[in-house]
Amino acid sequence: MSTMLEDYPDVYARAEQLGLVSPSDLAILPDGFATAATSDGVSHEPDAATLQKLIVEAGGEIDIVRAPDSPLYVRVQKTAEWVAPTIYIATELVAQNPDYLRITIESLKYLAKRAVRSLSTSNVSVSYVVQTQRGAFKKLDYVGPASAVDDVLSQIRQLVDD
Amino acid sequence: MIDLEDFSFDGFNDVAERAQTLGFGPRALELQESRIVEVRECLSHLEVAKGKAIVNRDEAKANLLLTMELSLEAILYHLLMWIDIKRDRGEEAWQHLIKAQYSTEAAIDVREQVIGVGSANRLENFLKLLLLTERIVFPPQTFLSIGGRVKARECSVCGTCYDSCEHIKGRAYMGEVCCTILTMVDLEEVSFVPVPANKLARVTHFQDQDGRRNKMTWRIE
Repeated sequence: MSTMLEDYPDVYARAEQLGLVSPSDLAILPDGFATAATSDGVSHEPDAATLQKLIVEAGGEIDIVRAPDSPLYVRVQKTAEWVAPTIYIATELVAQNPDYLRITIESLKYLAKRAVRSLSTSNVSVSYVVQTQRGAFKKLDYVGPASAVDDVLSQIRQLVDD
Repeated sequence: MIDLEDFSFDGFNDVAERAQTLGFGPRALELQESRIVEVRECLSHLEVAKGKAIVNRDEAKANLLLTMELSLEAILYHLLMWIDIKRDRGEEAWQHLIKAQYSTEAAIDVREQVIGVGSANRLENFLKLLLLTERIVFPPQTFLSIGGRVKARECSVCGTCYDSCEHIKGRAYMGEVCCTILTMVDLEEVSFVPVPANKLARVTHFQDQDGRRNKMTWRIE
């Protein structure tokens, strides 16, 4: 298992630049969010809606960032290798709704385990974008076994406290 | 305990086990072919029992029968794969192998939902066997996949937009597995992929100095 940390653009500024709805405290970011020139260049991973449904079913809440009044555009699932939806976690979430974070990561783990079932590797990649106490934005990339996706929970909490 | 008054769970187990006993290459072809008939009969009974459960709106029973149906289908396809290989039908053998894999995966998903039927360990082991069979018995394949953006997709259970309905892909609802149906796609590219989403999308022939060669059988066609 490995994790990598890097700086990430201001999530709210990017959403505004791209003309997307501003993310709530817990949100699914589209693919290409950090780098796309326009909102035409962004779409979600195929499991974004499924992840949201699992989270809501477990008692959590999460938004899917998209253009206002726009349908959800997703990538065609091209390969069997699973790409996790990128999760955005605002500082307030960990303080106000810590359970939502746990529910989200458990739902991701469920999808990840299901996705690798017929693959020769049990490794998955999951990215989290975290807003720190100081207002910075960091991206945490996890690569490792699907069964250990929830191991990053404490690392995310530490990042938020930074 | 779900009451299967009009279907015998023991009977299903017997059919499944007898079929699996013949799921090997060296098993006699005539025995495998006669077992197919028995398995298909059992699947018909399952379908009828599931239909009754659906009419009675008994979702637990419908889903239990679905998991049995999917498991038995996987076994059927696996047997058909071996028969195809022996009858020199390489292309069909591949299709049956992949269908066996997909049925097994669906059976595992549904089984995890159905309360009281135990773990899916045997199905998971069967899936491992099928994946190993793919690598050992069949020649390496060249797979294709499309890339693009899905602008609209429907839920197979309710027919409405999947992204806003309540159904979850891979779950069973009244005896039916939920999946998404892509209804509007912007196609961007087609590419070769090593690990495809769909193993049935593959290169079947190529041209060499001898002619148009079938990639599975190696015959010139």
